[in-house]
Formats: sequence, structure tokens, C-alpha cells
Amino acid sequence: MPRLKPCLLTSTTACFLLLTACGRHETAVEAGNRAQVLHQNIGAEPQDLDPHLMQTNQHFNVLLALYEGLTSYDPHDLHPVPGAADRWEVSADGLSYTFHLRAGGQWSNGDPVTAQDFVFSARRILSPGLGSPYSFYYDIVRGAQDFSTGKVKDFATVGIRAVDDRTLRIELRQPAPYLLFLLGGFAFMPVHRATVERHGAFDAPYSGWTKPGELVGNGPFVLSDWKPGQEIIVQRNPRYWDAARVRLQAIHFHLIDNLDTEERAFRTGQLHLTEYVPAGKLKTYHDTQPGLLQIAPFFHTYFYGFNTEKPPFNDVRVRRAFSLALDRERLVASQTGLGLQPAFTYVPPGVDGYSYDGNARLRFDPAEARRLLAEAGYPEGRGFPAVEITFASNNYHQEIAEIMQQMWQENLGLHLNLAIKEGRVYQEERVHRQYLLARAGWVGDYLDPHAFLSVYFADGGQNNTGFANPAYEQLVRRALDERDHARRLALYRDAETILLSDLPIIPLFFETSRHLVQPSVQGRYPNLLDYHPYQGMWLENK
Amino acid sequence: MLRYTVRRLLQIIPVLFVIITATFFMVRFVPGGPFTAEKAIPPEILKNLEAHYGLDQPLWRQYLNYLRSIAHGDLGPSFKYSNRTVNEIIGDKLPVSLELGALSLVVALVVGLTLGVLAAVRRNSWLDYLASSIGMLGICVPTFVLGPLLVLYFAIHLGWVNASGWYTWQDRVLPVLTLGFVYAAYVMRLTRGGMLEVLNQDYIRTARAKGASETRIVLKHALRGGLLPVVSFLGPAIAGILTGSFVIETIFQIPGLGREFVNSAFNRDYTLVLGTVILYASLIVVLNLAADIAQVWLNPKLKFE
Repeated sequence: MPRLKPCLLTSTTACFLLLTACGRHETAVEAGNRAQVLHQNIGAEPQDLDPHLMQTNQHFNVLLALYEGLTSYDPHDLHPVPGAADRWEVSADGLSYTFHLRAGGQWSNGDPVTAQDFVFSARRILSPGLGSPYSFYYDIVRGAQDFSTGKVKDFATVGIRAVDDRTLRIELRQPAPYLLFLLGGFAFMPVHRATVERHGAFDAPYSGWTKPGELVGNGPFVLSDWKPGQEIIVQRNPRYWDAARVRLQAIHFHLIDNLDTEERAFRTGQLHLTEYVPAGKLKTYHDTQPGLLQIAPFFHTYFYGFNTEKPPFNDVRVRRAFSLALDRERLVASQTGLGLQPAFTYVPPGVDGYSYDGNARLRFDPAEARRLLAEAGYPEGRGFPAVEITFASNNYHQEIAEIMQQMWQENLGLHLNLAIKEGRVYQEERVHRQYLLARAGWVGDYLDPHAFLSVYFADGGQNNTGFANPAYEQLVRRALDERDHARRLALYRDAETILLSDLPIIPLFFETSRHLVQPSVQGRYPNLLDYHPYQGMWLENK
Repeated sequence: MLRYTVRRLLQIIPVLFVIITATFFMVRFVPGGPFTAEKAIPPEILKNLEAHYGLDQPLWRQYLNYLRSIAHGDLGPSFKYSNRTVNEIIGDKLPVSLELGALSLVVALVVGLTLGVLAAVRRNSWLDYLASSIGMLGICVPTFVLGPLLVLYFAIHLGWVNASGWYTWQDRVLPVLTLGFVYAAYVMRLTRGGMLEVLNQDYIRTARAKGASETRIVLKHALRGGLLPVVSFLGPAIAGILTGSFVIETIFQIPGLGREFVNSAFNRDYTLVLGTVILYASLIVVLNLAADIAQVWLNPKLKFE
């Protein structure tokens, strides 16, 4: 066999030669630190970069790089700061806002940013033909709801108009203290009219105007490339009004959707920032490199929802018993390193000075839980119908569900089955209320208790519980009209008391945002919504 | 042979028709749709979206429309990647999977054939045991274990390559080795088995008796017959390897078609599911045909019929 052996040797050594030829090289993070190029992973690929057609707020940070609304956000605590508008006035009744656009504001192609651009953008997102899932953000604007549902065809009836090229007036149907915050969000971001219309009708969805080379924005960065399944690259926009402050030259938004792959990419210096941290790796980072781990409170309540229209959960005593039987401290303690906080209220505490302190605060009281269950006709759990805990297939949700299952078994004597569903099946069943008890959660879209409390309006699209309480709705609505801050919070407290007494949902804990961050990332601050404007960010090893 | 090939190719049409029909209706009967999301979309808007994609029409009409459009080579718009068509997505991602697959196939054949032949020729020697152990290992160790192990050593420990990505030639090394190794194991075992059988045949003894060199016997006479099992394995294997590997593409973040194949089902991206199924089915049918033709060419005992 004189010829075969060398053949074997060659093929095996070839592999190793190939690998050694690679050698240790400068990592993307090292090169990025030198050239001010940020490598951030954003997980799953966005459907589009059209701010009016976002399906989730997961990709909001990319939009923050490409577009800028009338207001923008302070990176520390996200309070609204001037964006495309440099100042504004609010009428005494809180119903009329006048915005003055900054002089010299430009689109990335050099066109001036005008008040008409914002009017066009509002007309576009509200047009029924576009089918924007987030047009409901405009519901507080006078006439917007009628226009977006097609009841009224004339856009002039909507309370958004250009007074002149640089003055925009927005009229509301009711005061909305969080309006300035909303205006920085994606639904209120402007789009460039000529670009949109060059690719089709102004309200044609997914017409392709957001492709690299086509997309025109007014944000601190411009889209330069989008490699599907790999990365979205944006470059510093020299025409941005505050370009002098923008120190990053480019951002590579990586599209790694597997948590473990993402973590390995971080560890080998391919990423400055990750979207998540795999639960199994938390402890290792915590013990060995805590400096890389960034865990911060997130405006997100993790809860279980009841179908209040079907027995046994149409009885409030059963719902209360289920809540009283839960030891939330123990639940949270089981998830070491995640920084979760037990939820004894629905709205996460500390937003706009609001923390629920009423007497309906949830508590752990197994004796009372058993008493209520017996009162409802199920002493020691006898005769209780078969109930499943429905949740989407996911290790984290399953661990939580197993602990819940155990606590209800121990404290109520009830054995509940776990119903693990594929993601879309779970969502479909919740929307159509084909469940009794299901995992759920809510992330507030703006920093105001209203973002949480308005979910449980009877006609709310996200209220899948059947809960309907006119007194509750009235309190939440009245809070918007209330100009006095303390009285406003008192109204929220009264509303939350109703919710926590009726318990269509049982809050379990407040979530955290979790990222791995290289030490060279500067000017990025943990905050409640995990929004991170890039204007003030830079890379430097300190 | 031409008649045989043409007849087999014509059979593809009814096969594909059945597959398309079954897939079309199966994905539609799965609960949840392309617009089902954590935050439910308001009903009026859902209606607009469904109208935009023609989902508001009766199912049979949608089916006929779909058949009409694929007859023109148009696989329709994707639901998930809304500003792109399924044709564009396949056009973007198939070449990546082809590259990964072709390179892995080269690794699999070079390593697998060499080890297989050596193991058969030196049967029961240390070489045979070594090769067989490697073969066993390759079959037993799944790619989702081997991949991260290679990453751990070569990317994290030594820092020679990136842990993931598909940008430079260095990025190709680990995924190609991982995927290639698994197929190499199968090729090795099939080659060894085939060769052992052939090496015992009379015509090999004849060749030896005539004084042909061992190298000539192995490479010229035995290998042709010994490869038969490998060839029939390669037909479907190549179809699988070329349309992409979900696991490898996920571990190494490769923008190939394998991930779309799986994720499109999770996303209820009806058109993308169908597009990838059609592609995969066609490849399997064509490559099986190619394997059959190669069999006849390699094995004088077989005839086209």
C-alpha cells in the first residue's frame, strides 16, 4: 500500500494545516474598538426596517439608529429630549402640542426634514391599506381611530397638521402625559415621502423601499448593507443634525438567533453586546467575570392569566386561592442569577413615581388559599376539574411552570397538568381563549403605569382573560385627564386595587434584561425599557 | 439510457404534484398563521394583511392560484421576510448551502474513502481498528456536540478561527469539518463493507494471479465494485447535504437554506415552506436518478430498464 498511506497522511494533516494557517488574529471587537465600529447582536432577523410595520419592539434599537422622531430619549432614564423638534409648547388643557422642527434638519439624502414629512408619515401609518399593527398608538390623537379603522376617509379630520414647513401641531382627544415619550417611538418616526412613493403607493406595505441603497432616514446612522441571515450594517450619517456628537463610525447588527452561538461569538471577541445570556451560562459569568454581565430591571411583568369566562376560574375565590397559594419569593429564588423580583403588584414599581401601596397587594397565605378553595366548593381540592397550565415550548417557561405546579399541589392539593404548546399554537389558543390557565407577560411600551393598566380594558386586543370592569376603565381614563400628579397616581392605585382584587391574572415576578457587554462599550446605560440611543455611545478600553 | 432517463424525469411531475398538494393543505391545517404574534394584531388590520396576501379567498382558489404561479416559476412572496420573495430567498441562501455542502462532501469523500479502503485492505490491523473507531465515533457523536467542541478548542481556546459567521475562508473551516466528518463516517463504513465483499471475489484473485500490483488491484479493480453501496447512499445524502443542515447552520450562524427549511414551518411562512419542500423534493428525485445511473455504469450486472 505504498500510495494509500501518504494519501491518508495528507488528508488528515491538511485539516490541521488549514486550521493552523488561520493563526490567532485580531478579533472583531479589537478592530472595532480601534475604528469605533460596534458589533451588537440583535437576535432574530427583523421582518423589515420600516418603522411603521414593526411586528415586535425587539428591533427598536436598530430603528433608533436609522430614524429620529420629534423627540428622542435620554440614554440614562429615557426621559424625552429634543429630537427632530428642538422645542415645543403644550396648551393649558394638555390637548394641543406645537412642535418646532430644528433648522437645518436633514434626511440622509440631503432633503430638509419638514413638518409635512411628519404629516405624511402619520397618514401612512394610519392608512388601513398599510395594515400597521401599531397604529393604535395614535388612538389618543383626535380623529385618528376613526381614520385608521376606515370609518372616516378624510385625513384632514385627524388632529395632525403642518402649520408651516417647520411647525407641526398635534391635537389630542384626551390629555396623554406620556405623549412626548410616545413621539420618540417607532410608530411616530418619520419616513421619507419621495423614497416611499418611488417604490409604490404611499400605503403599500413591504414595497422594498427599506433595502440598502434605497432607505433614506433622518437618524444618526444610515443603512449601508443588509446581509440576510448575517448582519445589518449602518454607517454614521454625516448629515444628522447632531453628527458632531456621534462617535461610533458604524454599527454591525448581527443576526445570531441561537443563544449558545451568540454566547460563543461573544467569548471569541466577535460581539461587543449580546441580546441575551443563556440561562446555563449565567452562573459561570457571575462567578468568574461579573463585569461582563449586565442585568437590569425591565419594564416587564411575568404572570399567569385565567380564562375568567369558564369554570373553575369564573369564580373569583378560585382565582384568589391560586394566587394566595404561591410563594413568589421561593419561585424567584429558584432562578438564581437572573435578578428577578417577586411581583406582589401588576405594574412594576418605580415608574413615574408610582408604586402600588394599596391593601390588595398580593401575598402568600396557604391557609387562606385552602379556605377560599373550600368555600368555592372544592374542599381539599376535591371535585376540582382537570386544569392544564398552557405555555409555549421553552425551557425557562417550563421550569417556572413546574415550580408553580408543585406549589399548587403542596398548598391546594391540586394536581395540574402541563400543556406545552408550539409557539404559534399557544398564541392562537390564547387569542381565542381556548385555555383555562396560561402563561403570559407584558412589556410596557412607554414609561407610564397606563402602559400596563390599559391592557385590561374590555375591548383591549391583548386582554385575553374576559375581564371587563367599567369602573376600572373609568379610573384609568380619568387618570389621563388628571393634571395633578399625586391625584393621578391615586387613581392608578384605585384601578390597580380593582385588578388585584379581581385577579384575571396573577403576577409572578418582574423580569430583568440580561446582556453580555464588553468593557470597552461606553455611554450605554441600563434602563427600564432597554432602549439605547447610539448618539452618545463610544468604544474605549479604560 | 436516454429513454430511461427521460421516463424517470417525467415521473418527477406527478411526484412533485402530490408533494405540493399534500404540503399545501397540511401547513394550512396547522393551528396558528403567519400573523399570529405575542401581541395580537387588531382584527381590522389582520383582515387587510390577509387580503394583501390573498389569504381571504377560499382555500381551493388559493391552491389553484398557487399552482398557477409555480407553473410560471414564481414561488410567491415570503410572509416572514416581507419585502422579499421566496425565489429571492432561495437564490440568496441556496448557494451558501451548496458551498458548505460541496466542501463537506469533498472532506467526507477524501477522508471516508481513504479510511474505508485502508481499513478493508488492512483488515484487522491497527489501521482497521483506528478507522472503524473513527467511523463509529462519527456516527455516534451528533453534530451539535462535535461543532461546539471544535469551536471550544479552535476558536475559544486557540483563537485561530471565529466561533461563527460566514464571511472569510477561515469561517468555512469548522462547519465544513463538522459536517464532513459525519458523512465521512458513513462513507468510510460503506466503503469498507463494499471493499471487503469485492476483495473476496474471484476476479480479484485472477488479477492477483496475473501479477497485478496491489495498488492497481485496489484502485482499479476493487474500488469500482466496492463503491456501489457508497453511490446509492450518496444520492439522498447529497440532496440532504446540499439543501443545508439546520444544526450546522444554527451552531455556526451560516445564512443557508437549512435553517429556513425548519424555521419557515415555525413561522407558518406558507410560501417559504412550500418553496423549500419543492426544492428539496426535486433534488432528491434528480439525485436518486443520478445515483441509479451511476450504479449501472459502475456495475456491469445492472441494466437500464
